[in-house]
Amino acid sequence: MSTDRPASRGRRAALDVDVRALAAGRHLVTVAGDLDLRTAPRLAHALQPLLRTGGRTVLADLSGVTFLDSTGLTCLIAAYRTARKTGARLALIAPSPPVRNMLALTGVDQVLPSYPTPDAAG
Amino acid sequence: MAERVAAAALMRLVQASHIATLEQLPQMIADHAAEAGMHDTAVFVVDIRETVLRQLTGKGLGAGDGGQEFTVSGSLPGQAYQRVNLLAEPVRTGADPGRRRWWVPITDGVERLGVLRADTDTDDEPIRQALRDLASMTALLLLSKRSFSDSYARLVRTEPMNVAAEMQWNLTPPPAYAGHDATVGAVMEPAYQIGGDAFDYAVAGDVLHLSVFDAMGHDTTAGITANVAVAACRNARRQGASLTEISRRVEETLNEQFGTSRYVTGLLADLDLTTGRLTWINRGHHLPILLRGNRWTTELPCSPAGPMGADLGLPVAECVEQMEPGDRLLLYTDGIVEARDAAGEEFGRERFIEFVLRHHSGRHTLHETLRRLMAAVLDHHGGTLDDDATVLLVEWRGGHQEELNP
Repeated sequence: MSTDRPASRGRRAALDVDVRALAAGRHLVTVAGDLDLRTAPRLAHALQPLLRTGGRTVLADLSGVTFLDSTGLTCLIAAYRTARKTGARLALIAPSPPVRNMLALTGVDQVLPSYPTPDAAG
Repeated sequence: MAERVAAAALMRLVQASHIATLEQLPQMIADHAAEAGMHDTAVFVVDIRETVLRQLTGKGLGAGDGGQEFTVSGSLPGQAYQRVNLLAEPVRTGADPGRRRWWVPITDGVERLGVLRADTDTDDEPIRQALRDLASMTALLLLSKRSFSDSYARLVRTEPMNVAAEMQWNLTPPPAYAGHDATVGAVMEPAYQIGGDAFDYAVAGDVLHLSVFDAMGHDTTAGITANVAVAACRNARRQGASLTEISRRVEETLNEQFGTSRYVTGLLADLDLTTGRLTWINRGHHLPILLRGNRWTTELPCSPAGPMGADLGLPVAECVEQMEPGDRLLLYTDGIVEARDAAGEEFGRERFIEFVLRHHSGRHTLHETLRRLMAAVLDHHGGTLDDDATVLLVEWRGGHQEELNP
C-alpha cells in the first residue's frame, strides 16, 4: 500500500487537528488535510488520550480529509482498538469520499460507524 | 538417424551437467550441441524486468563478461522471446545459402528464461526439433543451477535491488505456470524496490490455490510482513486449513510478530481445476475481476473481513463463483490502477482491463500480455512507481487444454 500521495509528490504534507469538548465526556476531533505516513501520528496523539477513558464518546469529523493512506488507516484502526478495549465510543462524522472508499474496501466501516453530523451520532 | 545422434548428445549433456556450475554451462552446451550439428551456440537469459537478453558467457562474477546483449523490444532474438517461437535470421548475401542462424526461446513450461542461438547447415523439421529439444534441456539446466548461483542473480539484474525486493523474489513462485487446464502469470513492480506486495499460487491435486498480499507501508518491514504472511498462509494450507482458517492463522502470526502495528490486505482463493468452482475470501483487498469472452467483465463481490493483522474480529465470508471454460481471473494490488502520470491521471481500472483484453486475445501469450501491461504502467508513471503493483492472471480452460493460450 502506498505511503506517498502520488498526485502531490513533493508537496508539503499538512494536517489540521482540532479537539473540542461538546459536553461532559463528549469530544469532537476535527481533521482536515492529508492523513498519511507523516501526519498520522498527530491524529493518534489527539485521539488516543481521549479514548483511554471508558464511557467517553469521541467523534472524529473526517469531512476535510483529502487523502488517506495505509498509515492513516492504521491510525484509525488503532483508535478503534483502544476504544474497544476501554469501552469508549468512537464514531466518524461525514468521512470524505477517499476515506469512505478506503474504509469500505477494507471492511473497517463495519466496526467504525459513520454519521452525517455530530447530532446524528446521538 | 540424425534424431538419434541429437538425443544421444542431449543425454551426455545431462550426465556431464551434474557436477557443473552455471559458469560451465555455455561451453558444455556448445560442445554437446556441436555433436548434433548445432554450432556456435550461445545462451542468453532475460533480466527480471524482461527488457534485455544477456549472453551467459560464464566469465566474471556476473557470468556475462564479454557477452552480447539484445533488447526484448526491437531485436530478432527479442522477437523469438516475445512470440515464444523459433526464428531464423535472414540469409546474408554471399553467405553459404544452406547455413542458418537460429534464435530459439528457452522455456520451462511457459516460463521464459531467455533465448538460445545456434547455427545449422540445414533447415528441415528434424533440425528444428533438435533446436527445440536443446532449448528445453538448456532451460532445465539453467533452473537446476540458478538457485545457488549469485552470478545468475547478477546477470539478470540491471539495477541495484533493495532488501525487501531481495526477499520477495525468493518468496514468490515462478512468474508463469501452465498445466491441468489452467495458465497462471504474475508480474510485480517496482522489480528492484518492492515494498510489501507478494503473490502465491500452488497446485495440490485438482485445486489451484491463488493469493495476493499487500502489506502496509513501503519499507523493509513491509517486506518482512509480506514474507511472514505468505509463510503463514503456506504453512496453514499445507496442513489442510480452509481459506478462512488460513487467513485467521495469518492474522494470528502477524499479531504475534507485530502486535497490531502491521497488517496485510489480501485475497485468498481456491480454483477447482476440474469443475471450475472458485472459492475465495476477501481480507480488505481490491475485488477480483472476472473476464468472460472478450467483452464481459465483472468484479466478483465478497464482503471484506478486514485486513489480516488488524484484528477487527469480523466474520470471514467464503464466496463462490462458477467459472466457465475460457474465463480469466485478475487479482491485483492498488499500484496497478493507481499509478499516475505527470498530470496526476490514474492508469485506472478500465485501462487495466482493456489492456489485458486487447493484448491477450490470441495475439500474445498471457505472459507476454503481462510483460507489456507492466511496461505500459511503468511508462504511464514516467518509468518508476511509488507504490507496489502486482497482477496475478489466471485462465481456466476446463477440459479444453489444447486451446490454452499460454
